[in-house]
Amino acid sequence: MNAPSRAIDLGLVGCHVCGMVCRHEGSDDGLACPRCGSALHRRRHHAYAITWALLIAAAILFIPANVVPIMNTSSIYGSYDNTIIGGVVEFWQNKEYDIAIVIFVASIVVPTLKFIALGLLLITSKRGVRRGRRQRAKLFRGVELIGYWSMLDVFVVALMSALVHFGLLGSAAPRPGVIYFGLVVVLTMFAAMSFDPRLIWDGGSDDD
Amino acid sequence: MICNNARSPWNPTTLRLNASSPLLICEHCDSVYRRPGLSRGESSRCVRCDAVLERREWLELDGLQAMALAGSILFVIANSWPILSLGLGGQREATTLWGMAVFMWNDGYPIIASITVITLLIIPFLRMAGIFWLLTWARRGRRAPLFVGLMVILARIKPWAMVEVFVLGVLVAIVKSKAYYEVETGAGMFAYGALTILATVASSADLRGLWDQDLHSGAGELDGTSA
Repeated sequence: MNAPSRAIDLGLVGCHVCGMVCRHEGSDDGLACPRCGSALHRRRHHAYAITWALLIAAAILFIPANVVPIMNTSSIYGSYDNTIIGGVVEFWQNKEYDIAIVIFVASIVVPTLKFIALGLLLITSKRGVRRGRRQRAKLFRGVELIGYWSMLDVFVVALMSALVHFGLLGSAAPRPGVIYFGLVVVLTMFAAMSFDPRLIWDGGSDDD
Repeated sequence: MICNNARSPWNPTTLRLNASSPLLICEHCDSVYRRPGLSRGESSRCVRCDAVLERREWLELDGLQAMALAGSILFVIANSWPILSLGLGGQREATTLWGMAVFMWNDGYPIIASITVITLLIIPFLRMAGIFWLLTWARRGRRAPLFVGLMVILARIKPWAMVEVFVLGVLVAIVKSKAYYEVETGAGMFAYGALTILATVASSADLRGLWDQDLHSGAGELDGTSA
């Protein structure tokens, strides 16, 4: 297969915001798109360092996000602090298997996969690994696509806390775990955005 | 070669403006293509990394504009009526999205309140209303006031609209509370449900063609392949 040329070899830079194609030689420091004014980068500057930093910060916050309760529910039967996994277990025990699976996937599986996938992309790209580039490119797009679904539990907690105010009969209130969790989602989204998928294809020739 | 004040975006010695560029660069792998002509509903993919390069919508200008208007109206409905209300022994509690954010703010969770308002209110609305505004002018063959700023903002905020996640969250909350309370879904919930569909169309809409639109011709095409 005759692979298409790459912009970096032709001295071209594409604008990520408006799609404009510009010819430019030399350093791209401070370069701006002539059409929309957005910064132009051949490759995102410091992509590895920034993505690693955000990813590690998110991974650290993921611990309190799971250990610290996200919501308190109380009724005449007593008061309970719920963690995310506790909520999943509760649904499972009440035989609401579908909801249990939805929350488990959105809150636990998706963030974990994101950590693994982004870590893998960072390491393999940095080393210039040539095997499975196409699959890794798809993996990155998958990470971007599913990332924000983890916000599910945060919205559930906010909604329940705003609704359930029946005094002694029942009430719900947020707990700090929900902040950690919200920050994990935001940080992993920023991490995915700061990674430059073009790095997957840099180094070496194209033949898989 | 030393970079000569490239900060000035209009410097012709560093940049060459390709008005309606025949070239297209894959954002995901940097491959360069000659721009293909697409017909309605078609999209082109990168042979190297399989990412979608360009897409021409089924909806042309009129359809997309109508959708954006419908979305903006639905948005007002979604935020004026309660999303859910719960009943227990004669008491009833209801909340709108805004009420939810205000509660979280007052309860000492300003970060969560901000995330809620930004991802469910400001950004989805800005996208709908922004598309409507841009297309209203585009149909007259003109660039809307604030065109450049708005196009850049709309492109940048795209990943942060989370309406569909919220709708799933409401469904989870219904299941969670139906065992203890009488649950009643409000008009706000249905409006958000409908918005999910429109928001998906709005977020997949490739507005980049507007950059290439001939400013003086009458009916503008959205696909930008006229070059």
